[in-house]
Amino acid sequence: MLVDAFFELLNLWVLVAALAGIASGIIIGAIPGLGPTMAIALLIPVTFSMEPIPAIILLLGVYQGAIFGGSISAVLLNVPGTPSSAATAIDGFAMARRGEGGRALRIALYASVAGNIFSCLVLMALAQPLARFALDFGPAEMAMLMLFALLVIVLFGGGSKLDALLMVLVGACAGIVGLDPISGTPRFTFGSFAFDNGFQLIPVLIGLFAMSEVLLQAFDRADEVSDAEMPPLKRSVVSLVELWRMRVTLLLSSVIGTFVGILPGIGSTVPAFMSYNLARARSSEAGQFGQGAPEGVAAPEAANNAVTGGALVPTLALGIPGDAVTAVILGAFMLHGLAPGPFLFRDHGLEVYAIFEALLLSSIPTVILGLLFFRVAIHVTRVQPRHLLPAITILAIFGAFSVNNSLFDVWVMLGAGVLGFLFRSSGFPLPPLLIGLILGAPFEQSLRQALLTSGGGFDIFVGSPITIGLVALIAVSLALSLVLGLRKART
Amino acid sequence: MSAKSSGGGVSRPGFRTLTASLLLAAALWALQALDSQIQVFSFGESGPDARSFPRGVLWLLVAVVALRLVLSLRREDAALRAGPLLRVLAVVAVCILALWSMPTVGFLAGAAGAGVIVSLVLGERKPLMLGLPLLVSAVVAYGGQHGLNIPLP
Amino acid sequence: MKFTRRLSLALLGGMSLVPSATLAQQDYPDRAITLVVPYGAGGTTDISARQIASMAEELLGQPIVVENQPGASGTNAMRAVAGADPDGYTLIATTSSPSFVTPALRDVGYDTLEDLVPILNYSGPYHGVVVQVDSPYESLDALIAGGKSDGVTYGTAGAMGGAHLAFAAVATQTGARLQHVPFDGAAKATAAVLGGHVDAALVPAYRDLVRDGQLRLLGVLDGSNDPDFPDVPTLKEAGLSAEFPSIVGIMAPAGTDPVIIQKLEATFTEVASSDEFKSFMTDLSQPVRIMPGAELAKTIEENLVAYREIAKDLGN
Repeated sequence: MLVDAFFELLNLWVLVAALAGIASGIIIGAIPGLGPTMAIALLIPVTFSMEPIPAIILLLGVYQGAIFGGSISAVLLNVPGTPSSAATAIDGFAMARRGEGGRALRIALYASVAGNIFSCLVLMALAQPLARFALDFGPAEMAMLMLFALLVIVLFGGGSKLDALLMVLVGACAGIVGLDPISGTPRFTFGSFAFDNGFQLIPVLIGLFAMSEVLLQAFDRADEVSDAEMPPLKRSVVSLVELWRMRVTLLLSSVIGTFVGILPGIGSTVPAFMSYNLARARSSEAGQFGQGAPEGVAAPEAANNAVTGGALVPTLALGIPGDAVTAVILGAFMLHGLAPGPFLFRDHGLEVYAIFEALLLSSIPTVILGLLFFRVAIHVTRVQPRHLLPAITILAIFGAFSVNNSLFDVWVMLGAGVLGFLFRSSGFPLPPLLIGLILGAPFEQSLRQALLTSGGGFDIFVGSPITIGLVALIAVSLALSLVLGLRKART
Repeated sequence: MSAKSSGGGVSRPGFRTLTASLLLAAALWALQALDSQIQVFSFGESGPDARSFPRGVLWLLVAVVALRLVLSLRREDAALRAGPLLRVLAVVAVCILALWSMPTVGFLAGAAGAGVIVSLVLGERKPLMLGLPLLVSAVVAYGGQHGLNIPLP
Repeated sequence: MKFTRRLSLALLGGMSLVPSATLAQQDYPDRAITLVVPYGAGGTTDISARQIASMAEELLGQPIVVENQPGASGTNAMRAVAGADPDGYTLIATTSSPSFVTPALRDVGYDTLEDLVPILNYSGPYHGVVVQVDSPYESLDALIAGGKSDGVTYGTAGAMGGAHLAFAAVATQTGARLQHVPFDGAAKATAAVLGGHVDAALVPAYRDLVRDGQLRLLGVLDGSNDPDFPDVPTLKEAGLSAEFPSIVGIMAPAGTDPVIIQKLEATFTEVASSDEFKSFMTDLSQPVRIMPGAELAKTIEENLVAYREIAKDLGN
């Protein structure tokens, strides 16, 4: 089967499709606001006339490329192209300021590829059993998992825990605006239809990270950055030995990414930050994190790319997509006669395994294309801010608009920009805000769903082995954080 | 490219105090407006309703912000400098103007205008380089409209 | 935004060309038509609308540009199209939820019956009542009986959706305790019933999971049987007076010239009944259900009234 599937790939069109998909994915991902969902949706009509295998390979190439592309602008400009690369920006941008942008990008690239390969292998070997396992996560399990994720963000993010908690709460409050997830009634919409949709993640992200950067620069204007002050571009070779030293981080991050990817509805931003915090907590040089630690780039990149394979598990094995991107991919599979669901592997095993093998092999063109892009992209760091930032402003307006084709989102972006400026100037960390916004509403929804199914009884939160395990994890992390805090206070 | 945390005076209020006070005010207002902003239909269901979670989160936020304010009174804070703040306000004002006029003048003019002013605020004085935002917005507008099929205003 | 500009252009055009207004309908279409999709690009509504658009533009001789205006479960796009110029150049491909479900619940800024003219209905996925295959409930009757004795939880794609309201009506009629659990999309509701977290789910796209023996289909919410499962009863056939007819149709702003509406209805009906469109929709696992505009208007009106009643019962 695997060999037959491989022969299906020996086709010029497959190669062309993979190259075109990855290249356009990287470019679209690098532009703030344009993400994989949009890229895939745009390319679906293009694939109408193609054979199924190249068509799907093109679209999955876009998916992988876009997730990785987001980290290019995150590292070089501190402007994450996609929400999932916000974690990469922390250490990636710090490295770029030292002139190690090329190295950071390479680490991001190799970590991405590692995450991809891992999750793809999982997808090939264990799609069916893991899809069944994902079903065991009901509302109560999801609520506890999200609580755990929020705790990890607050307790192990480095910096002040109080500030992190504050920002998570701000994010959660912002998530309240819109329609109530359970009863469908408007909340804090001020009677306006525009607010019904709530604050969308992408406009908020662009405002917090890109627009606030423009405002910060306007505040701290340096009249002229001379060439001498520009960091020289250092040699950017990453040796295999270096990667080998990160093997545990890469593996753990890939596992987190794949696992969270399998569960519906959390997405790739949360596992990226969880992996980052885990890598930081494990590291012997935790102080380096935030100052440009290579592992701080590798961990989130491995995780957010591993999400792609994980998210395909329930999508393909059950026909149940976990998020917007996989829903679009599901449509693409259907259009090409490969209806995802329990019969996909039985009826179209050859095509599906050919596609999986192509996903694995696409690591090679990803690396080649990635390295080519870096050669050009790295020079962005040497452009004067006053030339760069107007362009970022224009792109921010465009990116926010393009999410829903609505000007309301651009206003949200601008508001988030002003808030982002205030928070950054005050030294409040932005990532917890992002996580609060992402997880706040789903956490409330899961909590209330669980209580609806249990008839109001809180025992449902310790009612299954999974919830008990998660509650134990929560208790352990609270205790651990307390112990570490006490030890730190003593020394 | 991040904020310089050049310390203000210990007693002088800085960014941190300002931001935290704003947050506190917003959260208190939201709590006060909660009942009028969220209607609750009862389906005879048990458990929390549409108001419970927002109320809980907002109270928690008020508590945490208040704690933050008290704790940071003794800490050093990034200074609020009037001159640079004016520049920030100028950028924000220009963006508001651009957004507000975008439905009538279109994306291209609005975005290009905002870009040029941002350029000026950031200290660009060469007329040739001021053309750069025009070029960028033209490329973005054309690419978005035709390449990505986005109905820009 | 766009509409104000278009409006002013139209006004200018109107002023100079008043006598040719009657001519316009004969020339229609003489420029590109915009077909608004109230959901994001890549969903089944979007994909099928793009296909019907690309097939219809060959017959009309002018391009049809599909424009996505997602947000607020489709009501934003409906409101925009309801307020657009009724010149036949702005159409919308819409579904049940923004047509007669949400408008029955709250003010959405448009009235489907007064502000829009249905042109035709061309699809609409069947929604089924599904339970896990080892569930004790073998039929709708058993499910209702279970609801009366122990209470039953059911998941749907979201709060106050058509499926929720239909089952809320069932609960009032029968006195069964049917506890609604809203999910964020039908996919998650399906996952929840598969994992045994809710007793039943009211979702579309159940075919393969039922055939594979993971789910059991007890009934369909539509007015007619699902051709894939002709023996499974509708709610009405099972003695419950509630239904949730699923529509996917094309509408134009009210006031559009009837001649133009007729031309569009004829064109789209021809396209939708072609074998090419049918096989395309089969690949998407979507049925082709053609209904003329007048009939679609009637369906919407009946349901709007019915859902307003249900919502009134729920509200107090």
